[in-house]
Amino acid sequence: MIYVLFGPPGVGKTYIGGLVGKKKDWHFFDADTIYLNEDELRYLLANGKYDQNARDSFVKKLIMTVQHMLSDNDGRDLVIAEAFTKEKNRAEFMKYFDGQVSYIMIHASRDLAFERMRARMKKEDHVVDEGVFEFVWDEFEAPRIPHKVLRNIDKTDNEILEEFNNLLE
Amino acid sequence: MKVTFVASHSQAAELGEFYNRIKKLLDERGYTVYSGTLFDKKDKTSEYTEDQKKREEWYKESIAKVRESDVVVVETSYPSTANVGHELTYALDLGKPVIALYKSGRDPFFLRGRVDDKLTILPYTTYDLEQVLANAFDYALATQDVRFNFFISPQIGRYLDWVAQKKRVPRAVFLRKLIETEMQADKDYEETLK
Repeated sequence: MIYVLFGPPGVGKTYIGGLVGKKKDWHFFDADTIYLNEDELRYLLANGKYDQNARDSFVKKLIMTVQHMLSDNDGRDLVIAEAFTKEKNRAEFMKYFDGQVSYIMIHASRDLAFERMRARMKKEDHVVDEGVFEFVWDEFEAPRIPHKVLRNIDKTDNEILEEFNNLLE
Repeated sequence: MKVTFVASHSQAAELGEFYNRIKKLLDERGYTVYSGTLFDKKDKTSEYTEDQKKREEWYKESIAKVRESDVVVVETSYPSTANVGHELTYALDLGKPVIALYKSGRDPFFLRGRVDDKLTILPYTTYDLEQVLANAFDYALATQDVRFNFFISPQIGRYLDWVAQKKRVPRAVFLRKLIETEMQADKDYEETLK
């Protein structure tokens, strides 16, 4: 099964993905890897020109990477962190992997997510600056695809893991 | 998998901790890692820099290892062209996947503008180096894959649907695994690779 942690920037997808990956010994892939490596996608995102074509191109690269990882890991469970802003791309990803995808939306308020994003910017160069943050939050479509919700507000690591395990059940 | 790890010797004092962490992760993943004299003691490395013949030997060996490698990992926080830059370009010219990592805030400007599907350039921080490197391998190896479409009978289609539902394995992943298993068991094919 592919567990996709999705949601707009700053909600904690990467953090939770790393935590879950380590705890369960699952392979974790942070889809920011693709943005960080692709100058063109980063340029489009940084300049508010990130359109559906760019999203489709990104999702193709993500599908290619995830398929490679599944083959390398003998089909074992994987956890992926990706914003998945648009319903079309969520459905496309689900279809490609024959429904073997479990979507978990990570939820936090926009204000809290903004604070986290600013704190992260102080620590490292990141693809999500204030402009990108606002752009992706505005573009984010409420999910209609089957999904679960993990609320990431003032929780300890153990509480996050417990809630994640409850969602799996 | 054979991996060559290249980094600037001159920055070992500042970045040595990260070189060690990169090497450790590559070892833990079970790769055969060649890192030349990068982790040798300083007095041993100076033999290579002071003696022309040893310098040549060192260069020839480094280049041979790049040729043998499946992937080349390069630490590019410092713009060292003679060693790091040359081996990186040489690997790309041979069509090898190259993972270029740099410490966040020390963007390798000399690589920007080089458009090459085989080159993966990623920043890391003290907190996420291992995660970034692991994901860099996932992505760099996946970008080597090629797309292949073909027609199947309805019977095969029904079987693949059953596999996806019952075994919970996506059809594409199942087919890929079948071919990999067949490939590994095929002695005739193995002979042609020698």
